[in-house]
Amino acid sequence: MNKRDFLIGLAVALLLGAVVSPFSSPLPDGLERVAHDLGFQSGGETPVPESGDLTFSVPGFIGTLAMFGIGCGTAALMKKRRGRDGTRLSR
Amino acid sequence: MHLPDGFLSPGVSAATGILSLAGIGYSLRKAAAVAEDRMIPLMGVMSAFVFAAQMINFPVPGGTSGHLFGGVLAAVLLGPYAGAVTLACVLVFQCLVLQDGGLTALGANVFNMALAGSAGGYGVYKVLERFMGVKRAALSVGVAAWFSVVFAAALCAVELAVSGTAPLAVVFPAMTGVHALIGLGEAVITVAIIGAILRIRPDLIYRPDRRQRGQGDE
Repeated sequence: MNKRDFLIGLAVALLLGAVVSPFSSPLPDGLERVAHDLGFQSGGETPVPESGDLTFSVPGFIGTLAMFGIGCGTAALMKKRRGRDGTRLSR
Repeated sequence: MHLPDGFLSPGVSAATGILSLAGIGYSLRKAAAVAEDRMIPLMGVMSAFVFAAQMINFPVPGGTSGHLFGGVLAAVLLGPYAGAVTLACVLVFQCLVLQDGGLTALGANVFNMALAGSAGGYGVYKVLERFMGVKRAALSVGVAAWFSVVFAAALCAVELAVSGTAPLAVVFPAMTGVHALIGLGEAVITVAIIGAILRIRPDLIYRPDRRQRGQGDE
């Protein structure tokens, strides 16, 4: 299994989450826009935490890294479950 | 398209919650049945990537913004079941940790995006692939990606209407209209990424018949 490619993928994700995300458009997303136009907007705004630093988002970095761990962990749990029930999972 | 608290009625919230629990439970079992070693880093990277990409909004004509949803992207690489689970993980994390998406709307968000968007979008991709052939994979993936966004938006509109939040005749065209535009961005980005992966690591594309041919992926 070529670990390098996965590390590159993770690096890209971290780059997006930490460095690119601060430049994200502040315009409302589709649902927010519709809610505002049709009048059922509750008044809340995009709750993504504000990062004071415009060039590097620490929450973005940490969140992306956490998601990597959660994704790996979930897959590992699924694989473990397969091993245990391997004979019964005949679907 | 993350529904916050307060947009859905308790009934819709509960119904979509039950459907999502069932759907994700089923997806977990199906995904576990074919789980391989490489799914661990792949699901990790996809979870991270989808999460990060969803934070990057691009402007869309009409004073709105969109972001990559990543449902079909995840499903094409991981399969529909692991793809749905991946999106669900992201949605749960966003809800619990970032308050992006209400807790009472989590069922609906998972249903719309993880199940209908990711797994459903994958179904559209496979149907299109059968008609258009494997060589036109880009077209199949692109159309499926576009569809996944519009479909999720349509379901969202129906939920809002049934909840009494907005009349269907108004909210349905509004949601599907803006997301038809956002879906174009989704299609372009998804095709670009899948295209690159097809060139660099074509083995990462999900093929359900792989595991019957032995270990093969260490």
